[in-house]
Amino acid sequence: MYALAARMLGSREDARDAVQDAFERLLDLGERLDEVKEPGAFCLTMIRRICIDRLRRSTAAVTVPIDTHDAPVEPPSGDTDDSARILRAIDRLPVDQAIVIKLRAIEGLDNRQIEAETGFSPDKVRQALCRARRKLKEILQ
Amino acid sequence: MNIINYDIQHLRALIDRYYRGETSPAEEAEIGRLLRSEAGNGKEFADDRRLFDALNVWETPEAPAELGETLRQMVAERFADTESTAKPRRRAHILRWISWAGGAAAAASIAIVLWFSSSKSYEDTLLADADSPADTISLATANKPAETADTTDVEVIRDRIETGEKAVKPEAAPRPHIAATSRPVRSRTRSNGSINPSATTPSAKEPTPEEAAHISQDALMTLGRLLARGNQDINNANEELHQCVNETFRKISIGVSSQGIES
Repeated sequence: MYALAARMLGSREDARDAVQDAFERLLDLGERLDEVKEPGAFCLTMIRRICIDRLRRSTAAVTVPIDTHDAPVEPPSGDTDDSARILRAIDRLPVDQAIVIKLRAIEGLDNRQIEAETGFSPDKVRQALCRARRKLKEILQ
Repeated sequence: MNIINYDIQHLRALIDRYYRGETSPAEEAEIGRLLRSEAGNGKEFADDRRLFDALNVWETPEAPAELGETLRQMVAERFADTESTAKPRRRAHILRWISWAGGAAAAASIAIVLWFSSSKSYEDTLLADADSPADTISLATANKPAETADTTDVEVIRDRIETGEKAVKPEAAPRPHIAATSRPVRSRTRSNGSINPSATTPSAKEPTPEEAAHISQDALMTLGRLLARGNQDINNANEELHQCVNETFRKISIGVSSQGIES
């Protein structure tokens, strides 16, 4: 849950808050938790939706690191410079595009799953992926 | 060579669809494989390769140690809250249940009493409320329904009481109960003239209306006692309550059925 939140939110501090938020919600469920058949998937769905809510609430979807502990999560690809640039670029995308590209890139959700998680229409998901990928490619050029 | 050309064309088509947002995760995995192959090694796909590398490899950050402790505290506090609120909630639930059951029993008893009262005949009520023959006459005049009031009848009876004579109205026989000052025994005769066996030979299983009222009252008293000690033993109270309510309704039903037979 924490890893997913950190990737989605790009901040360890926000990820910690999101996990605590998820635990609060799980505890609120009480005895209804017995009805959950797949706890792992249930928890991941919960943290994913919390992250989406947090990203939507953030006006610019930009996470600025405050200290070293709150350093942005960076993909450790071979080209660290490209990865950092892409990560920062994603955080500067319109929030809907940022959410869609993260759900695809981080979790590997297909378009229908993204529609279900975000409530977006199929066209909106496709357009968000299209625009986000083209912008990110322009950054690397 | 032909295979590589085929792969390059296939890669181009996939990448074209990729930037239109039309590829599936499986197709994107195929793009990644082709970009790392000889077909995708050319300069044409350099930017695409960098983008794929940046997007498809993500760090898996480990949760900080203090987060685990924070969550454990959160769970412990929540369970502490649950423990402290569980009894009051259960107590409130039981008290609410008791209130409901007591209210229902009281309402049933009141209904029985009202039913007993309404089932008395007009004459019974009249005689029960009268202290003297004169009162009886005045009550007869005052309480008797207008459509059945018989002024002549009353005057004849008043003359009988005041003079002590056994005056008999020629047209109609005097109503024998009017002269009585004490409450007569209720008729045990049914409307069709037959004798009610339960009235002539009361059965031990079927209480009289008065006994039925006492049974209901006893049941209410039991409920009251249960309410008083409900705080002392909540766990047992719930079970006892169920039994008590069942017993209450059983007794009330006995009283109602008995009265139904009686009437």
